[in-house]
Amino acid sequence: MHRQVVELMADFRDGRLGSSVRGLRLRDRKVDDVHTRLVALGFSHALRPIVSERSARGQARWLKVDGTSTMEEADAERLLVREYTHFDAGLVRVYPVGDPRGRDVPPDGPYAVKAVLFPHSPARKGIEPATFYDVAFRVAEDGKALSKSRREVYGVAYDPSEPLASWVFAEVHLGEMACIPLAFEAETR
Amino acid sequence: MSIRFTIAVGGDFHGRTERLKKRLTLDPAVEVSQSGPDVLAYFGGVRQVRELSMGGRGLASLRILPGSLVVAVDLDGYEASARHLAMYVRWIIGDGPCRIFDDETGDELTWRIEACPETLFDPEPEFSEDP
Repeated sequence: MHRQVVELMADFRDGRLGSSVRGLRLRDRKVDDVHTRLVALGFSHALRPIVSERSARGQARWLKVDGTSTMEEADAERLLVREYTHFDAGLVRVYPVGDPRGRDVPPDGPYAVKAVLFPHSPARKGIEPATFYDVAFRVAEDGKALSKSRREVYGVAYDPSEPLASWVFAEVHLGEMACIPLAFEAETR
Repeated sequence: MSIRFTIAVGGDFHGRTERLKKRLTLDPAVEVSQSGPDVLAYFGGVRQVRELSMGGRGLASLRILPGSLVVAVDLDGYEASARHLAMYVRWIIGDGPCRIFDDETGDELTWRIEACPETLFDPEPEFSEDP
């Protein structure tokens, strides 16, 4: 793993970075409750569309709630995630209806993802969207630092002779621990 | 959030993607499905994982989008899955002209990938092997 990420994880554990997300408990809260709480904690927020893919000329195509994509910025069916950033480098992303393609989070309901940004990232100020490259590591619901991807290069250690065990490990590590289920609105009314 | 990029397949898109689909279909560790006009492939790394993953959970994926003349790649999968997909991406790049764009940033990666294809799969080369 990158030395800088190792150092940032140590800073996180020692409370010098990302404290806003370390002790934050979001599981089973309603999306609107999460919003109210994060704003009260000093997070800035923005609605962000997700790039589904690029066109042959490199223009963004945006993910829609039905899993298809559009190039129209005004398309009301674009999937919007709520992105919250804190000056201490904490990041929370809320997917109110999940990810219809099941890539960032499962497609079956609202989820949140917690992470810590690189301190120099412009996304920390909440002006620019946070990309994969801005994220130093992810954070589990219980405050444990997790690698930001299932890839070995980001710190997940695999035994290549045990592919099935490796896949299961990756699923637990990032598939379950990193995706925090939120409450369905209908269940809590 | 993961490493995602789009390959704009130049030349004969239909012919090139038909060859790709044929390769994917013959690979027992790849789950191929149709989603409307798009072809979706999940890379298990090994057959056993492909059979158990159910809907491609935790696997790197590739989508062929005939309407857009592109192939969309998501490298986020456990290591064997990502390397399995990487093999196919190298094949696509070697099969004819392409343009490659980072999905999130919009940066064109073509020149970088042509110079050193490995950077596509280990995009942050400053990473060391320290635990």
